[in-house]
Amino acid sequence: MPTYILRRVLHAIPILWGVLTVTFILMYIVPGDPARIMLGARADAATVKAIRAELGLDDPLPVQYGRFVARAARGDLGRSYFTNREVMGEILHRVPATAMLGLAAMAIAVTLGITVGVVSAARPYSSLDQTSMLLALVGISIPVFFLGLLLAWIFGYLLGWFPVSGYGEPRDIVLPAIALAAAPLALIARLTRSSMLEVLREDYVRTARAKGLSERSVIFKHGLKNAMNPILTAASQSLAAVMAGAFFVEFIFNWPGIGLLAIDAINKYDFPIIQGTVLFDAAVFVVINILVDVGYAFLDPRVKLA
Amino acid sequence: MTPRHDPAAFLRSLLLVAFAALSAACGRGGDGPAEGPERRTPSGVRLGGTFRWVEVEDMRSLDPTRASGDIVSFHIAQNVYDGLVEYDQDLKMRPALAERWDVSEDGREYTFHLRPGVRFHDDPAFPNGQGREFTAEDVKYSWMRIADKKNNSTGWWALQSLIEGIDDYREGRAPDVSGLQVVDPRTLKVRLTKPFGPFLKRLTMAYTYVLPREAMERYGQDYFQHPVGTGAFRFVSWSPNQEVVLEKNPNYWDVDGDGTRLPYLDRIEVKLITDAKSAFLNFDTGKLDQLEPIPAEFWTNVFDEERNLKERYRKYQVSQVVELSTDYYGFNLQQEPWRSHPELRQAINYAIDRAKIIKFVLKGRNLPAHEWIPPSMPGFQKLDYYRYDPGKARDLLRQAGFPNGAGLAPITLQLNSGGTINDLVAEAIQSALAEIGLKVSLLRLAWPQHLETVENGKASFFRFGWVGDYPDAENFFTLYDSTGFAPSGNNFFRYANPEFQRAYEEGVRQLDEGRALELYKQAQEIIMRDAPAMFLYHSERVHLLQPHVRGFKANAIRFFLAKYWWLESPGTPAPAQAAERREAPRPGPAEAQDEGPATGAGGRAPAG
Repeated sequence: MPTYILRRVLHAIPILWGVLTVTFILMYIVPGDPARIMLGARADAATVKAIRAELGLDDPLPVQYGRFVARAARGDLGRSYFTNREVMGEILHRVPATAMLGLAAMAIAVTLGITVGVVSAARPYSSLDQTSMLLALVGISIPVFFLGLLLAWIFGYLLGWFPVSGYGEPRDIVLPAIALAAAPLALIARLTRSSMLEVLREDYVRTARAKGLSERSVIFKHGLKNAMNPILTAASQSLAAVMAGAFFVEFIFNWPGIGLLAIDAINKYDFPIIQGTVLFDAAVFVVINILVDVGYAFLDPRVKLA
Repeated sequence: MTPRHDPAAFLRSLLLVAFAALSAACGRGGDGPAEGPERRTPSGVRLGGTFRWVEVEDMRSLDPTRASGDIVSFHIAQNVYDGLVEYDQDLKMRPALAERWDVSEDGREYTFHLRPGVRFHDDPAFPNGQGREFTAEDVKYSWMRIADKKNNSTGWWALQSLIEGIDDYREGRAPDVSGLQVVDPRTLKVRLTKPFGPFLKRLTMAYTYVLPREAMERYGQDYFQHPVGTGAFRFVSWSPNQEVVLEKNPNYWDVDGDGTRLPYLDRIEVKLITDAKSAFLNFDTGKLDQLEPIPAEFWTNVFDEERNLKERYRKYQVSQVVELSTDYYGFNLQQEPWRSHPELRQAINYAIDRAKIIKFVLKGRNLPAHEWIPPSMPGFQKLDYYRYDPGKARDLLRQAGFPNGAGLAPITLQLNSGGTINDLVAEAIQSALAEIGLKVSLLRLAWPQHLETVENGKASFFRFGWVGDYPDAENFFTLYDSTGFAPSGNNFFRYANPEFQRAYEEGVRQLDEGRALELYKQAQEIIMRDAPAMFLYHSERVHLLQPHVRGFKANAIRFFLAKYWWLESPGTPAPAQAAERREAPRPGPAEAQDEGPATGAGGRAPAG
């Protein structure tokens, strides 16, 4: 296991290097003078020139690239063009908010999704099953930003049950977490149902029932446990979707996470922040994938980590 | 076999528990005006409370050397710091940290007599954490920071080549600024390189606000989390993308007419909400006391065609003003066909029905620009150029040698992408010019690229705008100064007219406001005649306020002077709305409409 994890970490390095290189090239070729962006339209030409020299923007491309990679390896992602604050600091400051939102959304999605899926599989084609799956279809189809706006409008503005935006109170997370959870919840519910239906048809399940085991034991101990692999896959993929969707949800609800930071940076052409958030998200994806793979091994002894 | 445990029942139980938990978290929130034992001034102003205003961007920096660079930082910095002079909400200049000043005969030397007893906010940077009295040395230190290259101040242009010795100091040729002399702790002498009429007005910008050396030296790069000034409010905290909190400075120097120490409010919470729609919803649910801008999507929900509040929103107050700004499409006068054909430039100006664009594209917001200087400029002089006249436009085209556009290559209008309204206006202009035979194509570029090409003289016909830094026409005339072609200066048009230059330079030398205005009028006549731009409109700012807000007054320079604001008791309705009708008549068909000047400074009636 430790060898496997180490190998995966080493494999991640070229992936992250690739992301680093692509973002560097993109930022290099995007038109616009970073010094001018930093200083604003009123800055005099001499100051702009001084900043360009200070940032090394007139150095040859390979020199700039080498400097960028060397700094990134040390965790130095530069400074924001707008606030002059360290990019890494800005990102780390916002990680708790995004993590909280993501975890809340995944907690809702996984618990409710598996529950709904299990119940639907236990009562296939019943009205409960059909209603659940119809709602799941809606949940998968509806764009997350639209759902967020809808929730904010209805429950925040019209009914006043929750704040339209905010951070710091327990109520503030409810609507954004629900908006973000909808699609993964729907996906997990549908996948759980189909996976459970498949498992519940297996001979060993029929044997368990014949032996007089309780239905709860049949469904949860024998059924769900064996159906978990595809569910885990769906959950991990959903985590990726949650991270992507968090951008929109954070913007709509003014949730001060990495997504809002990135959107703000995109609007302002604050390239160091954009680069930093892309790199950070890539690193998170890599870590999640490693954790999911390791999770398979724990859940299913038949899985051997090569 | 009937299962003993029903998964459906389990699900129902789970949902009930979840619903109960959510219900427990429910409840209408909203802060509203703070309550407490009521305290009032002799004139009835209610003291205390928390004012919540919204900004749709995060703050950039509260370091004064950069604080005028974005409007959010500017709004907040005005309440944390003071300068030597300031404007009130009616745009009348008044003493601030300088009680009075003397100006020499030649207009080059200013002696500022500083207000005694004004203390910096308490901060750990000071011994015992107690703010000390500010001195002339602090003013000099603060201004020299603007000139210090390592601070990369966006405000260097405000003092560059204006104060004696400041350029030498910046370039490292001198260790000090010879034109800034500390006579004693209460007296600062400033010597200018030339007489400059708008000098005091430049000192109202945030760049020249005063801060203590101790705080900057202690906090360094972290100063943004610990700004220290002498202002009406002291900084408490900044949560990026969330809010900035300020608290009343109990030792503030300013008092109102009753002698009550300002500010009236206890606290300010500046909510940083990037999505303007979300900001609107927050305002309408009572979470904010002030809202601007009103998102375009909600405009027709809130206002009818006559700019009256619709029934649902009638409880709110409106405070609006024509801003000190002008939007335009500029001509690059170093390129053809603009360089050799002034009649073509004039024809384009005559071909546009600005009133119609404002009515149908901008939903009645903004004022057509028939002068370069906005009507909200103190001393505004109406010139009334380029009323819509397509017949005249065609005549001028013929005079230019392009009858009905024949012989003229297609024109490219360059604008920055991402602005729906800008696109709609550009398309309207494109159609209008097509009617007189001009083919115009639109080129949309990302803002940094748009800015770069305009500044470097690559763009031929481009959309831009100018927002005034202070209420003096000189600030608007810098765009035509032939000694300041972009990117060194603001002359994006590459315009050079010796006649204009003479009037402009003579005007800015005047200390007498009347004489300056005469020369400014001459200068503006020349610009309007030469038409280095297609003048489009002057922006309006429309603020919505909760019924209990008092003292807030929109002004043309976007000052947010919270020391004058106060909050009535919760539930108090707004004052009578009759005074809220626009003073500037609405734009209608250009020929029939006498638009007249809007009010000079301050615009609309105040809220309260």
